[in-house]
Amino acid sequence: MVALIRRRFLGTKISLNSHRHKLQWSVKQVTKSNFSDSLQEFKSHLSASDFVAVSLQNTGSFSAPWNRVSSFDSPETAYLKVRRAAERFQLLQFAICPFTISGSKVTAHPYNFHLFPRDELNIGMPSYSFSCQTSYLTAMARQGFDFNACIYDGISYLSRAQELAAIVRMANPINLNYVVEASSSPPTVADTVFVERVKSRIKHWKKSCIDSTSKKIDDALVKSLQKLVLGGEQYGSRPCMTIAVCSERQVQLVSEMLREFFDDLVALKIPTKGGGTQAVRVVLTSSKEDKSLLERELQNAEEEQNKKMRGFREVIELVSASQKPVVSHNTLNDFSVIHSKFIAPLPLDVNEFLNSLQSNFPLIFDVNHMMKGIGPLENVTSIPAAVSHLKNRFFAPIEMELSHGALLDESKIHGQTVVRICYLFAKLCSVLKITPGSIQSSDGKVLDGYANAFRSCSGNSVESLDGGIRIWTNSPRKVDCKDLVFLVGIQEQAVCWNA
Amino acid sequence: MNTTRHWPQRAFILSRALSRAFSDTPSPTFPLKHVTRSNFESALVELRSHVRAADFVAIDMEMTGVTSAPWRESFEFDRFDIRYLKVKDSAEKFAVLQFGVCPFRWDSLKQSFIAHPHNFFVFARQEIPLDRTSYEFLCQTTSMDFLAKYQFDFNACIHEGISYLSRGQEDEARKRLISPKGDQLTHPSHNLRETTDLPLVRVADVLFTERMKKRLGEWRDDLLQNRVGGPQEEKVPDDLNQQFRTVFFKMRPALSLDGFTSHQLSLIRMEEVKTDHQRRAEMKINAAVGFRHVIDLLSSENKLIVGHNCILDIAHVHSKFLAPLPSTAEEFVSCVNKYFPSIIDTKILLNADYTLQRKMKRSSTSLSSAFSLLCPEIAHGFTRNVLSYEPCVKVEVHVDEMRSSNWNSGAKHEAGYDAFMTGCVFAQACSHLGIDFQLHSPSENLTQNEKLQKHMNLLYLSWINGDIIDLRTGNRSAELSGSNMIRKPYRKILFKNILLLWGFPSKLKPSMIRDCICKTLGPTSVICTYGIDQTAVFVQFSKAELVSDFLNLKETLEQSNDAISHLHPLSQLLEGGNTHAASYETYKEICASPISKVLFADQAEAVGIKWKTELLPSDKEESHDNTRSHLESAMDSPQAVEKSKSRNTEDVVNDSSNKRFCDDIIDSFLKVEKIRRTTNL
Repeated sequence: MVALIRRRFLGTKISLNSHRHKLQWSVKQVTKSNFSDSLQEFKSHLSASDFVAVSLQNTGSFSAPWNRVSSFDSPETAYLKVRRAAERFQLLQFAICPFTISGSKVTAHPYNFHLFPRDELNIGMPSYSFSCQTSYLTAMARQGFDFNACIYDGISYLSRAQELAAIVRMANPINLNYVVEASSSPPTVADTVFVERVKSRIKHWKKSCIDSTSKKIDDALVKSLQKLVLGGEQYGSRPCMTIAVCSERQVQLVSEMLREFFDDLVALKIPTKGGGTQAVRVVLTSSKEDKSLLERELQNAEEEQNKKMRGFREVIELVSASQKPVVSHNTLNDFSVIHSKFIAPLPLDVNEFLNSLQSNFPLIFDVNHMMKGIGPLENVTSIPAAVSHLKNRFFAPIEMELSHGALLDESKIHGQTVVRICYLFAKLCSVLKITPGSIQSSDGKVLDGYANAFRSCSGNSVESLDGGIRIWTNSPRKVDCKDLVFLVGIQEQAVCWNA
Repeated sequence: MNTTRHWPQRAFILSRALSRAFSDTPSPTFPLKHVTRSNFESALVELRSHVRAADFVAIDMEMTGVTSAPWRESFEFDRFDIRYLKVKDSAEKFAVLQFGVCPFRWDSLKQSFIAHPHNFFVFARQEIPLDRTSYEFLCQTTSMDFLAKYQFDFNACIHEGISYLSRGQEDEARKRLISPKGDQLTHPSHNLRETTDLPLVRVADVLFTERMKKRLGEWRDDLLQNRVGGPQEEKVPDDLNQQFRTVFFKMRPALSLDGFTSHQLSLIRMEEVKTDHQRRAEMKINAAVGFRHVIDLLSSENKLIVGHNCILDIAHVHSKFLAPLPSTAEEFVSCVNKYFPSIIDTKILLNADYTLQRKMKRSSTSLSSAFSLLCPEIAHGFTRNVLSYEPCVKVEVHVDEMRSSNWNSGAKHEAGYDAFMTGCVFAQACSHLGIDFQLHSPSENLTQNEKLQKHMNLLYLSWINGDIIDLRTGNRSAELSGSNMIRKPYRKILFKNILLLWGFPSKLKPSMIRDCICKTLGPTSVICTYGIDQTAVFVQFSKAELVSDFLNLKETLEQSNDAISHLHPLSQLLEGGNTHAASYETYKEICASPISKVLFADQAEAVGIKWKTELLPSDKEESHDNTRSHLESAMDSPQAVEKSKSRNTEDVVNDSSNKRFCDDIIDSFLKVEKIRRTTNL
């Protein structure tokens, strides 16, 4: 142990001297160890808030200059570029902040979740490998990012699509009552024979079980011998029996028969690794209470398993279920990452992507896009720049109130951006004369012009889905894709003659 | 048991215990020498002298991952060239996080080896912007988790790791420095950049610049002499002296220039700035070479390099510090042999020699088990088997001022410690082979030892089936049969008989595919099937003709759409219409691609295979040509990419909304970018 502690002597002390930001707020840092507690807290904060701001920290974005979303890109191309980056790089921090605006006061509850795609279930998910961009990692290091905390204690997750695949792969027994619906077709002769045979088998087995327990054998040896002779299996402390089935139809028949004739048995479906059903396991309970106890146990176990599989996705599910408006700074990037890591692999088509997103997050605001409502500000793309721009031009005092108080502990510095987004959003609402209260009441009609507009980059927005793209960031001229020529392989020296 | 034989041993143990209790070593568990950016320069100076004095140097590395996709793992059905492609892919994609170097020197006075374990944290930063593409590396989630389990310090690595430039990158940086656009490297202030672009057109200008260059050079030399010797002599004519006056510019000596026209001034400035910046850039490049100085040191000292199952380590060294990996194993080994003329792999050594096999009691030859079996004194601090007392090679560890003869930091999977273990295993193995270090004089070179010669420069290309490559000749050989009893006998695989199948319905298991084919081509047609992953499988036929038979049959079945073809036993395999089949050569092409998709079927699609059945040359000429051209576009040569690109742009013009082609374009440009980057290096 001494040696292990010693091993970390080097880089564990991270200097945070490089932080020069004036605004410093305390953000709750969440890792594996405090995840379940924080989740409860987050849940209550979320339900009490009007908006949710998000900000993501990835291991990279664009590998080469031409990968970057440019103003020459049509919405489809921009999406494909972003899609490529979202699939390639890994999300390491997810800062999320439920907040409420009342007048000039913002009440915010910032959380910063540390993520790592750990293969908790040993099934090669959520990701086999991921890319890192050196420049991103060094920039994160400069901000005092703790990579050890992230890799050692980061929270894992599975996307919805991956969870479905994992359930099939894990093949855990499932309570039949939840799975099987009543059959519609009339039973054939073979079905009746099968049902009768299983019924008599179960009756016989049940009788022998009850007999043996009522006889009260005290001798442990005799008991275990009897168990051997009877061939009884055990499910936990309860006796059980396995019935082999060869089709889903038979599963259905067994379940119906059990519901009809036995009220003290619980049936479990034993799936194969491929997703089919291998057998039905019947567990004998001693009473009605015992039965409901077992059923509850099973349900809890399943929930526990699901929780373990979902991991951090639970947070995303909460936000999605709350249907609260989500505010982000670079929505196209952020939501392509959210979609690919927590919902499903990104579709090839941009409209398909937007539809899928819409169904999960009905209202999305891009502060960057909202900035355009103030005027043509092509150079104001970063959050600090936007904040100082607004400060210089408009009088809109915003008072921030944070649940976790002011910054006292330096380790709570990560994820500050999300608070800045809240701040900027509130300021923008005030400048643009939008009363945030009306957003809920009128179902987003007021902010309609700003909601769900996907800014891909400075100067170009995906809202213009008419196939035209804008060229030169400072002129509003639109050019049709047909009029553009693609030149590749130009010598480096020749690139910028007349720029 | 004879008591008289017992006694001395017990006395020996007692004396050992006593000596340990009263030993003057400060602590046997001090950490090994960690080297980061902050102490790199001083550590390098020390290491230089240690390596120079060493008899051999053990190395080991920790990487961010091993395989970029499950199907890139090592398989029994991998041919020699494919094994190399897999090693190459791994070395190209993953980064080295830690580099362990441990020089061992025999001290004849102490009758023991002196080891200096060094643990370098390595992290390639882009310190000199060579091109605008960014450095990128892959992390395998399970490997990162594994490192985390052993408390690897990722912060030390990313915050404080030492950066490096490969030889190719250094040359590139120097080329840019000499070229007229060298100022890119040096970031001069804005107004100066304008003047540097002044073209020298007039003869008078050229003469003037040359004269000034000479004057400035003289001035500089004078100043430098001044620093060493006495006061400077007045040689300069008065009129020029008025124009040149030594002043101080930001604490550095500078010249103040009077009496020149502004045009002349700008020319002077241009020269001055150029030489100054050139020197500064030179220093910057030297600093940026960083960790590669260690590799250069190992190479230039011509010492014996010892590693454990080290082909991947050597491939990483080649791709990170020397040059991009060549496309064939033969070129690779000849290049490695040039830089490191003598390498010994302890895994080869342990498996090849019978006496060592006996010593190892035929247990696993993994590094940690070899270490604890061969060097129990160092690993556990005592001799495990008291009865069979055997001489153990003593190793004394020096880390800075601390030294210990029974050192054990216990930090497994830390490159520096693993290198130390490898060195200990090697020293012990040498002693078992009958190399007596006590007779061994310091002048005698271990690389010339005839007992080691037959193990020298041999590496496992793949441990899985004992394929060994000779670094001197590039010859490959199977492991000597019977040398390792654990292994099942080597089975000869005829790669011509192998068929590659992918994209079949996911419910089919390899055994079901075998049954399916046996129903069609005869019960003895298939020797075995081997699953690559859940989407792909190898089918080994008994005869090579059966491969082309199968491919033809598949093609005809897919083209005809009548009832009979639906009842055909193969239709189960072809269900879904996405089943692809090809010969073994296609497998090589897919492995050679720089792309790595998780599933094999996705990979094949990403590589650009658009046909469903590869027809072999003996068949219809026309369709063969067709497949060939597809194959070419799948290959990753620039021309092929060019071809596919032009095709894609046409498609885009025709149908700009076709997303698939947009994606194709992105992918093919990515290839171009990759090629550009690798050729630039």
